Amino acid sequence: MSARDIEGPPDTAANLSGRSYPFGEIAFRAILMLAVAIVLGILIGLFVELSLRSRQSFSANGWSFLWTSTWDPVHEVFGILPFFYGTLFTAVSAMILATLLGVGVALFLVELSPRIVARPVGFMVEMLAAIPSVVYGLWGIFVLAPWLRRNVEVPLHDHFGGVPLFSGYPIGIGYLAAIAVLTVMVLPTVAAVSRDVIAAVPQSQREAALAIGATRWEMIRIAVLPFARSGIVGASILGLARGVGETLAVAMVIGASPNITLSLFDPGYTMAAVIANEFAEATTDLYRSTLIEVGLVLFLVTLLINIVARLLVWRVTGGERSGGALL
Amino acid sequence: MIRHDRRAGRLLGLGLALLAGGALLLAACSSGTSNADKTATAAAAQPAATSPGGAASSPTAASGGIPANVGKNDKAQITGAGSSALTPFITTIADLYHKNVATGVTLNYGSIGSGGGISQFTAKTVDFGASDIYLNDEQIQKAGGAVLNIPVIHWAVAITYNIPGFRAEMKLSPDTIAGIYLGTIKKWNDPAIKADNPGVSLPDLGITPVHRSDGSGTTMNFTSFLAAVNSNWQSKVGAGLSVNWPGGVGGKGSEGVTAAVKTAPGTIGYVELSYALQNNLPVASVKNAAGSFVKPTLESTTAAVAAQVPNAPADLRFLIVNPPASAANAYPIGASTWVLLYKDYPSSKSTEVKAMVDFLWWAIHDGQSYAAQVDYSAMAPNLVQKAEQALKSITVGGTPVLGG
Repeated sequence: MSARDIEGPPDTAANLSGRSYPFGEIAFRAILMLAVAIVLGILIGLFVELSLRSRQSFSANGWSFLWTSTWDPVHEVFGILPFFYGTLFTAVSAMILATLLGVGVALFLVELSPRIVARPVGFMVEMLAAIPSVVYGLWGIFVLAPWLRRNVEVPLHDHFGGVPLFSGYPIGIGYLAAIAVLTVMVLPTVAAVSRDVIAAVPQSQREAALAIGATRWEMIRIAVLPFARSGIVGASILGLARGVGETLAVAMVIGASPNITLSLFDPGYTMAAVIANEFAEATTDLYRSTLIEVGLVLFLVTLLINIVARLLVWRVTGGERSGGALL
Repeated sequence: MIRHDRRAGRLLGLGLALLAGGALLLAACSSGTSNADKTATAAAAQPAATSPGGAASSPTAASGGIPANVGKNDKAQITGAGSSALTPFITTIADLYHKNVATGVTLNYGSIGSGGGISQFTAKTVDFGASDIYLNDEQIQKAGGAVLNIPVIHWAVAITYNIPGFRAEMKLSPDTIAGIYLGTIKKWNDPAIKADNPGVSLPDLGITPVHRSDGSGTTMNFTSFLAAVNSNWQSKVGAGLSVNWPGGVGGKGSEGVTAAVKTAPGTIGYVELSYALQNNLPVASVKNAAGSFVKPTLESTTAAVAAQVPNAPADLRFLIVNPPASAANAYPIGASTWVLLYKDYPSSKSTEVKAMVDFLWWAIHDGQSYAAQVDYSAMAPNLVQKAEQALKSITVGGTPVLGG
């Protein structure tokens, strides 16, 4: 929908008085444009400010900043590869888990549950998004991490310690706890968007599938999921972006050690977490500038994810709708 | 038409309200203050105790050692920012000072961390900064004026651990602690730990060292101690508010370290003594330079301060780690928080600076008796003397504030 569509027919009263744009209309436009300008200004301002303030770091650390693994504030040697790895490892894992769970929840709410159940359950899932991240963090260190250690990590380590994924020493906090907390935090986003997308699948699709003798699962598989696919992809990418940027809860449970490891039990680190942890006590200029450069990288990564998400959604939707129409 | 305009007007109002709300929100975010006032009010309920010592040495002693620059009802607001470790102490005593000594004087302290404190101080947006580490030469140069670093409070870095079924008193020598954190000592029944604890049975259990993941003065002093006593640590890791840990797990804040140590068997961690006391954590005795194993207490920390002061430089930039062997009862891992001050303030700041120097004078004398209430260690008397000299050197527009 373009701006032209919104304008619609001119106000009758305005026509009678011979003015096409009454004051209110102009003020309304100005406010909307101001809102857009503020949002864009913040985005651009952020980028400019981050770039300016990370200049010192860039001239001292160079490009190798991006692919070296030593983070030593004492000797001012900085490399962010482990943070980069940790950010992607936790966010992608959480996205996959949250997508599986979220689509399951969405399908249940739309296709299976009676209305009387769907309403409160849907509401409760969305409520998960309203919980502050520090609460997730505290829950993570005091409840989830000890529980994971006792009931998941120790048994897995005892029986499958040879598998790289379970080889680390189980202590509770670490990658697994971070992924678990992130999954719960990302879940409401994925579930809510998926539910809306699945609910938007035309009823005729379902009826057609059922009419040719499909079971409920077959109906979901052939009629609902293909139709909702692009929306679900979009939902999970939204979740990924949320996971990449999540700071406090992750900082509290990830164990804060810059490790590049496959083990779920080892402590790790993310870019957002290292900024949160070290910025307040970064007492030298280079150190501070370096943390700002980490912020810049995080900013660019998030931007990249969003661009990729857009392209992906366009490609998927393009294959289904406009692509066919254009050719 | 009228209706239309009114609706748009309402929208305009809504838009303006949103903008204003956003601005307020931003303002609120930028002025984050302490969350540790609960200790302040708790302590304020106690009657004012008398000073343990030092009060009589005041040069301008008008009443109980308080220099009377500021009358009881003169209005002044002192602003400071920095170390969160200082927060419980300074908010407690500032409250008492406001209630009992100079009712017109209030302190606005931003608990924003040492790094923030240093930058606010050098940007001159606050009257004083507070940091868990003194300013280095480069930072002093940047501050644009002579700077005083005055330690006003101390605490011990306690070592806590989780060994199921272990009830004895854990004793650790400095090299053992360094070995554990370097990853060369991997089991609780390692010969090095056995040697520190003769006749005590130790389990065949892996050790996971836990460290602070956020930059902190606790880490600074802990690593300074290890660097002072262990050359391997000095060359491989060094000392700082955040360091490149050879291994182990990071916990965010003292509560993060405590949570990790409490829940996972085999862990060892370090926290401020106040935190260990308030959470009933087991703490290890650490071997000092005199060769005795000493438990961290408020007194054994002050003893370390006293032993360290005679060797301290005149500018008071010194750490309370590994004090000399002369102090047999000193706990060797101590820490300080410094108040950062300019030697000369502009005349326009006269009121605030006079009030601030008065307050700090009170803080290093009478105020010290309240340190124990928040589980911090008081300054040693020989350090108070040196701090007095530093406060006396402060001038406003070239005129000494304390006149002596």
